[in-house]
Amino acid sequence: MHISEGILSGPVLASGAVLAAVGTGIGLKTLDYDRIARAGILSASFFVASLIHVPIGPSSIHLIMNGIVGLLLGWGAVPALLVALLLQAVLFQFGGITTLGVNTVIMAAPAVAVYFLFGPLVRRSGALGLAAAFLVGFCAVLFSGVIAAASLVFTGESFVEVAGLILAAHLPVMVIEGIVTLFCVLFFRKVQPSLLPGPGASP
Amino acid sequence: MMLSCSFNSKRIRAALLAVFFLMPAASAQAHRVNVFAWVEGDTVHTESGFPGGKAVKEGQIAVFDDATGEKLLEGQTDEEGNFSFPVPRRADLRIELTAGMGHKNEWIVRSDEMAAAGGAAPAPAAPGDKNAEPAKSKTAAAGVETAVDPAQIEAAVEKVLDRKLAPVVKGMAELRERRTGVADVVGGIGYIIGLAGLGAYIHYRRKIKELEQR
Repeated sequence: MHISEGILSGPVLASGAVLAAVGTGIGLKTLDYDRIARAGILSASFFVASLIHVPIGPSSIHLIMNGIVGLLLGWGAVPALLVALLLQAVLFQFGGITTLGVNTVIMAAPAVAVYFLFGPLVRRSGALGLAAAFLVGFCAVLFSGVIAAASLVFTGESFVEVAGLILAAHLPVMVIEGIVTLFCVLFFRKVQPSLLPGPGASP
Repeated sequence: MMLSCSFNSKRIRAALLAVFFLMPAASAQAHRVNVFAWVEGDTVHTESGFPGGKAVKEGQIAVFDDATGEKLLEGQTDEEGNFSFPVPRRADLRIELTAGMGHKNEWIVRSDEMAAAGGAAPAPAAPGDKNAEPAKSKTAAAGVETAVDPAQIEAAVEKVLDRKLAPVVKGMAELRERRTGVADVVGGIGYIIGLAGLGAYIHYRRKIKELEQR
């Protein structure tokens, strides 16, 4: 879902840049610098996750992992993902530099959203906790697809059509990410529950 | 939670580590789209694909004059990601591919490639060329038809060269496609670690200054 250079109109690029800048500011302020290594590791995981290649139907898609990044970092996900996206653009030519703001919003806004939506629930025992963990991964990709479609709609393509295409293509990724996030959350619950948000967690 | 009994944290840790380290080996890519083009005779062939080999079907191709920006023609790629068109004019051509879902890329075909691969050029051939064609040597001796034969030979040679060189040119175009490698991944991770360290350093310097001022 990295959008390449030369597709989006100026206003869309500018608003993306502004939103990304604001989010980065908030993220840097609320970032726990005692745990900055965690932010670095998550940023690196997102950076590399795009190399996990899932060949599906007519095109190819990659794992995104913005759900787990958002869950563990909250607003800090914005600068973490911004850095990873910048490096992906420069080193892998995924996306672009002018589209960096928009791509950051596409990846980071869902990350922050699932943090607030499901964060308080993931440490609960029983089916609710499991469902919340799965939904973190699932919804993060879902929201990313919706935002990507929204940014493309201003190039004259119909939103419903583009959104339908993106979501249909990424449905397997949504499910896989949900499952991967679920495993990660279960792992963290056992090993270091304080990493996860929710009652009793350290920031 | 009964489920947690089946999760051996050591195994999961090993699996996650293995995934992270195997990734450079897989070296698979996505989320770029590539287009390259080459000239054969008076036709420009374009091929569009995702890195890793998948063809771009029904991708939109637009051809522009690179110098003036004028749109010359457009078309759609077929099932194999190919789209060919006759050379519209002898100029640098910018070929843009839009593959939907936000993927776009371009390739520039220089006018010199066209001149080299163009049809029969009416340049007079040196006398030495005629010796390669024993069949024509009789008419060469006549002298009246020498103006036609060198051009015909040149046209024939150019055609054969086009045919033979097309896969070579195509291969060179494919080589120009920049593949990501282990160095890129390691470099990126290094930058991230460096930025994290820099962030921590700046943050704590500020904190120390604040504490000293109190």
